[in-house]
Order: sequence, then C-alpha cells, then structure tokens
Amino acid sequence: MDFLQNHPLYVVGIIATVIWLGIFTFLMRLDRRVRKLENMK
Amino acid sequence: MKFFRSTLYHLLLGALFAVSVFICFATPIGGSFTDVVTLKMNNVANVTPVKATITTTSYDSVAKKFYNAKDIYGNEKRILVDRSQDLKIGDVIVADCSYLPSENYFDVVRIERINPAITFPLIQGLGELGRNMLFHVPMSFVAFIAFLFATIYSILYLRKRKMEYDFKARASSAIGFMFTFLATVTGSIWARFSWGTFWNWDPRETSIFILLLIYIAYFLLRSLLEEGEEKKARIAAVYNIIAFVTVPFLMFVLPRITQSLHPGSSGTEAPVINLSGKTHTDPILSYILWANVLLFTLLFLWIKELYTIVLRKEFSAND
Amino acid sequence: MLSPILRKDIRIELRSRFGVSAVVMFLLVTVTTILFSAPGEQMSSSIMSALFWISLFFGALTGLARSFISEEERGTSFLLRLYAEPEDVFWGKYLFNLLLVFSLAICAVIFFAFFFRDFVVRDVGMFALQLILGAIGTSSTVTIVSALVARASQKGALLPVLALPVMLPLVIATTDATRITMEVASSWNGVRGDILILFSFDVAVTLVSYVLFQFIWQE
Repeated sequence: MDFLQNHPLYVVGIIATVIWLGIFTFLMRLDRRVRKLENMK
Repeated sequence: MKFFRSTLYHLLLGALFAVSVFICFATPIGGSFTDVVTLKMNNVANVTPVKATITTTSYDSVAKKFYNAKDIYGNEKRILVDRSQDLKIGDVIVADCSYLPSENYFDVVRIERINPAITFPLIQGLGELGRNMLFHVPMSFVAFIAFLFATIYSILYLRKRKMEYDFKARASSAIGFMFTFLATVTGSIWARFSWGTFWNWDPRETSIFILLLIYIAYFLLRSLLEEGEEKKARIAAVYNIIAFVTVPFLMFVLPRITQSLHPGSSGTEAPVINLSGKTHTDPILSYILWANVLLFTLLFLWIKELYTIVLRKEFSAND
Repeated sequence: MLSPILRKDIRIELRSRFGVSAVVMFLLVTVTTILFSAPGEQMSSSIMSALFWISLFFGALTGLARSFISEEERGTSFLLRLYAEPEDVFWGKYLFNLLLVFSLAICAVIFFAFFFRDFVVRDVGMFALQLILGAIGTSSTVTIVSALVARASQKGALLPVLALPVMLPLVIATTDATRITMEVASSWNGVRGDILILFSFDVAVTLVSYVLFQFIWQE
C-alpha cells in the first residue's frame, strides 16, 4: 500500500490494466457466444 | 448496424485505444506557473512540473542561465536553468519548477522533457493520479449516454412494439450499468489515494449509489415478472422511462448543488462540464477527455451490437 | 368514469376501512418501536426528520400497494379494463392514493408530535407545504410502481425495491426541508431549493406516469 501511495503512476497502471483486460475478456466471450449461436443456425 | 462488427470499425477502435494508452502512460505532466505558486502557497508541493515555451535566449549569471518562458495561459516568467542545458527560442520544455517569492523567478530543478509530443495537464493536488481522469470521467459520461439510448429504445418499443427495440434497451441498460459500476470503482480507488478512504457517502457518491440501485431494480423487475416476453418487455420499458427521469437529476444536478469533496460540487469549479466558458485547467484536458469519451462510446456501440445479437438469437431459439 | 372509480374505492374503503386502519396501525407500531428502541433519547431535528419520513414512506408503500394488487386478486381488473378508459382508471387510483397518503401524513404528524417531545415544528407554513408536496410525490411514484408490480410474482418485496430508489431525490429534499422547518422559524431561504426539487419531481413523475400508464394497463 505504501508503495502504491508513493508511486501513484502504478495505481493508474493497475486500474488501466484491469479495466482494459476486463473489457477485452468480456468482448471475447460475447463474440464467442455470438459465433456459437451463428454456427448453430 | 453490421458496421459495428466490421474490421474497419475495429481498426478505428484499436487506433483510438493505442492513442489513449499512449496519452495515459507516455506523456509527461505539465502545469502552469500559477500552479507552482498556488501549490507552494498552500503548502501542497514545493516543486511542480510546468510546461512552457522559451521566448527569449539566455541571459546569464554565473553557473545558471535565465530564460523567459511562456506557459499555456500566456504567463511569461523568468526561469533559471542549469548551464548544461542549451535551449533555443521556441523550445517547449516540461520541467519541475520551484518558486522563490523573494526573487522573481522560477528555479528549474529538473527538465523532464524537451519538445514533447503531448503533455498531460496538471490537476492541482493530484499529480500522477490525475491520469485516472482518463477513465473515471469518460466512463461515467458514456454511462449516461448508454442510459439515454436505453430510454430512447424503451420509448421506441412502446410505440412500435418490435422486440428488437427491447433487446437494444436491455443491452444498453446493461452496458450503462457496467460503466457506472466501473466509474464508481475507479472513483473509490481514486478517493482512497486522494482523500484516504474508499467510500465517504458524500453527495456525489451517494447519488451514484442510488443510480446503481435504480438499474439493479430494473433487472430485478425483468427477472421477477412472470409474464409473456411481450408483457415483460412492456413493463420493463415503462420502468426504464420512469428511472431515466431521475438520472439527469442524480448525475448532473444534485452533486453540483450540494457541498462535497468531489470536484464540481457547490463552491468548487468543475473541470469538465460547467456553465462558465473557461475552466482553470489546461484546454488540452478537454481534447484528451473527449477523445476518451469517443473511445468508450465506440466500445459501447460495439458491445451493444453484440449483446443485442445474443439476445435476439436466444429469443428466437426459445420459440 | 373518473369519479365513479374514485367513489367506488372510497366507498369500499369506508365500508371496511382496511386501508386507513392498516396505515394508522403501521404508524402506531413504527412510532412505538422507535420509542422503545431509543427510550428517552434526545433526538436532533435531522434524526426526527429522517424517522418521520421513513415512517411515512414505508407506511405509504404498505398502504398503497393494495390499489392495483387487490384488483388483480379479486379479478375485477379485467372488468375495469373493459369498461373504463385508462386515463380514468389512472386518475381514479391516483387521487385515491393521494387521499390515503394525505391522511397518512396527518396521522404521522399527530403521532410524532404527541409521542416525541423533540418533534417541534417552527415554521408551520413551510412544513405543511413540503409535507403536501412530499405526499404528492410519494403517492404518484407508488401508484405507478404498484401498477407495474401488480403482475409480478414477488409483489411484496419488489414494490419497495423499485419505488424507493426512484423516490430517493424526494427523500433527500423532504428530509432536508423538514429538518430546516423544525429548526428555523422563517425558513424560506433554506427550503427554497428543496421546494423547487419537490415541485419538479411531483410534476415530472405525475406527467410521466400519466403518459405511461396506458402501456401497463392494456393487455
């Protein structure tokens, strides 16, 4: 925690990584779902 | 609508994403001379980064050189730089400066960058944490856009009765909720490092919490109704419209009329959306923020498209 | 058709007095619980204001829910759909619920003034005004939401969950206004903002629910 307090750039880095990773995983899963449904048809 | 799944769109999104990441991490923070003075006077920081353009050549004293430099607001001040640095007129420097009130110049402690491509604006008191602005503000704004879309689709559903609009309303509400939630989380992490605690129950935080409750209730309503799809959609659409009546008030009016820690409350100046034309932060901030708003809006449109397709296929699969 | 619907509901109410008595009992029980859980405590005006409005909101949620749900349960809603215009049904229910909330509010004021010595209102005019506006807001929100929920499975739990978040701007404005009228004898400057919020909330919710009611009501 102290490290993060003293190096706020890493706080931003962690937040950014988590958000973007989260959004991309979500997108990948959605895309896979769509593709599966389209192949079923 | 197929456009949102096309390669062109994805390339555009990727480019904007790359720009955003670059701005977030590879840009130095540069403020103005007024920031240096204000932060020193309030005992916040002795040294503050400044972005300034050199306007005159050096005129010197023994080991250091004086230059005149103009910052983003047009303040032209004297700065004192080490002899080892050789600066020309028109050079843009980003430098950590400290101010000596007795003399009338700014002492350049360290030059961060010369002629940077883009600088990140300084928000007083925040320093590097200010970069969070790139996520927190655009996400909450796009959440509002998402909720607006959801309500428009709900109204369209009530008038035209095509299930397509209901899928879109549902998708938009879900994405709006997701962005609001993310904005809240980034906000609370930011609060932890700025003000000390994760959650303060101040008016801005409370109104966002209420907003989350309202849309949780929307999804709860949809799942607890035991009716045909069509009736469920109708009732949910009505609730969505009622819910949206409170959204502008909660997101934009309430936090501005009450006192709170959050910037933009009564008594402080909102850096992004405010009624007076000028703000006292760098104009570049607007461009950076709106670029990120564009990025998240494009993301929203893409995710909405995908989610609508999933809902549509699942609906027809159930028939 | 409006006044027949309203009169029917009032007549049923007067016959059995279920609604009003449930509401009055609810208030009594709430006040008693508060008294026993904080005996002899001196309560500040903000706490008194909060307790007052919490009792009122939950009393409204308990008492008003019947308006549409009882129609469903008794099977008379089908008849109403056949014979009455949606607007008439809406305004009939709306006005009936409004009367119910007003009586609830008056009871609440009487009970609170009687049981809590800290419940002292200094600016009676403004208190009455914000009470009326708050009552209108509560009744209009609960009317439309109970119409929404009447067809759901978990009606009891769903009504507060849907209604309260939407009412929260109302909660903020009313508790603040009540607190100020309890503290200051001439409070217009303090409550002016709250009255404005209350007034716009009332107008917005009433209009929106009037427009949207027909979509819920029809088959």
